[in-house]
Amino acid sequence: MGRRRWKVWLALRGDRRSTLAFANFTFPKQTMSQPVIVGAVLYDPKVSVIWEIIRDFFEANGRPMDVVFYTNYELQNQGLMSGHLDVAWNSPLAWLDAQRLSGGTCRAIAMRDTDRDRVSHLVVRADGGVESVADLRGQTVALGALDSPQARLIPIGHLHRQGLELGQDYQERRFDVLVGKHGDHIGGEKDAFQCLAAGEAAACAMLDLNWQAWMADGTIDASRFKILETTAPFDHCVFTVRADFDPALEQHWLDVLYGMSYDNPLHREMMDMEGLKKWEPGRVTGFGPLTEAVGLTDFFAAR
Amino acid sequence: MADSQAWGLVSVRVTSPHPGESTAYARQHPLTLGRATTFDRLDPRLSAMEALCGAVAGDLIDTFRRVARERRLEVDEIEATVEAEMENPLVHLGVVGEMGSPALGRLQVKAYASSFDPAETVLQAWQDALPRAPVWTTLCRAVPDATAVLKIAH
Repeated sequence: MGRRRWKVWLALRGDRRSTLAFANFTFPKQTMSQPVIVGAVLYDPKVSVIWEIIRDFFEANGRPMDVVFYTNYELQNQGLMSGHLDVAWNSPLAWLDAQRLSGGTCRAIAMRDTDRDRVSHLVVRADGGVESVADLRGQTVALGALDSPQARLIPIGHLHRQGLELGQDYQERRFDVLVGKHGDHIGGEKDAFQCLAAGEAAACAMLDLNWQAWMADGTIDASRFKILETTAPFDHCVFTVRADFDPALEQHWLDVLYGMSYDNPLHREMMDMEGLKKWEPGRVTGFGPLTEAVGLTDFFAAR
Repeated sequence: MADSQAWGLVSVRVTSPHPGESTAYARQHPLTLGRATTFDRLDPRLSAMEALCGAVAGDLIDTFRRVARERRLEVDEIEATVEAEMENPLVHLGVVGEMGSPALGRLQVKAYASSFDPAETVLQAWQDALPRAPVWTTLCRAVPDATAVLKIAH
């Protein structure tokens, strides 16, 4: 086996030592005929089906694309920075990390319509006696995974702006489900709600979409729980590229992406699975609340 | 090789005309398979893992029927469900950073048979069939948590 192939093989094993070896590998310049390599973090094997459908859609529209799956966003960003990936489907926290790692040179090129202007809710029991944020002083708040933007970091930032400091004014009961996947898996968020429901916390945090979904499917009894506070709007996942990603290739890839139409029944199933009705251009104006929370918790330094 | 030494030999030819599809031929009988394993509920083809589950149940049912016949036990309908769990399916998908193996960590076969013969006699036939079932005994060596139980309805 040649030197080049050996290093690629080591990197795909995914251990830290081999990933560092991988960083020394020099990739050839991407050309229009070569596949665009997209990275995605996989928290459930079923998600691979969505990406296979998207990959086939790109192939059928003349834009070859390969998908590489990662077990966590840290590894995925290493893949992006080292040149193994052209595009990374990043969580909002992974977007901030990519900017940190690249000195602010990465670009956000596309996102789902549903990634824009999300909010998180602080939810309390209707009869729990918590009527304002001030009532949470001295209480326990159930939060999602350590690295969940929507179920931990942004709510911590919101409470900070309301004058409550984590560890001083309130304690967190944290549900670290699949740390490294930035809260993609709703398990931690649901565990936090169940903690609230069991009376073991005074409040919990959840994404607005989960509040809606859990109200609809009966997980949340509307007569027993209510929203105490809602955070400022924030943006969620975003396709991220390095500064040197070929502009023509990027435009071609985006043209195919934007070619998906919810009005087309063939596209609709794929878009429903991915949870969107329209792809939108990437924007960076919606990461303020998370940027503030990351600074407040010194998240990257503490990692 | 003398014929006597080849009795245990099983031979299958497999062709793959398209990605995601392969056909196994044994003595001119075809069996079409899809992916190694599938996570898509709407996948139109049986995966190799699903075929393996079917094979182990078919193996146990046929061996059990053979033993029952040898003992002149009357067994009418038999049905089995198989549940198999991979240790880490993400390894099969090539997820960077995942560790472990996509091998089966758990295999559970539950068979249901109807018989008017005494239950203990039928259950003994089942127990005696287990070490005679070639696919089952093969998987038992490989899968850490493998169980096969029979429930009888009169």
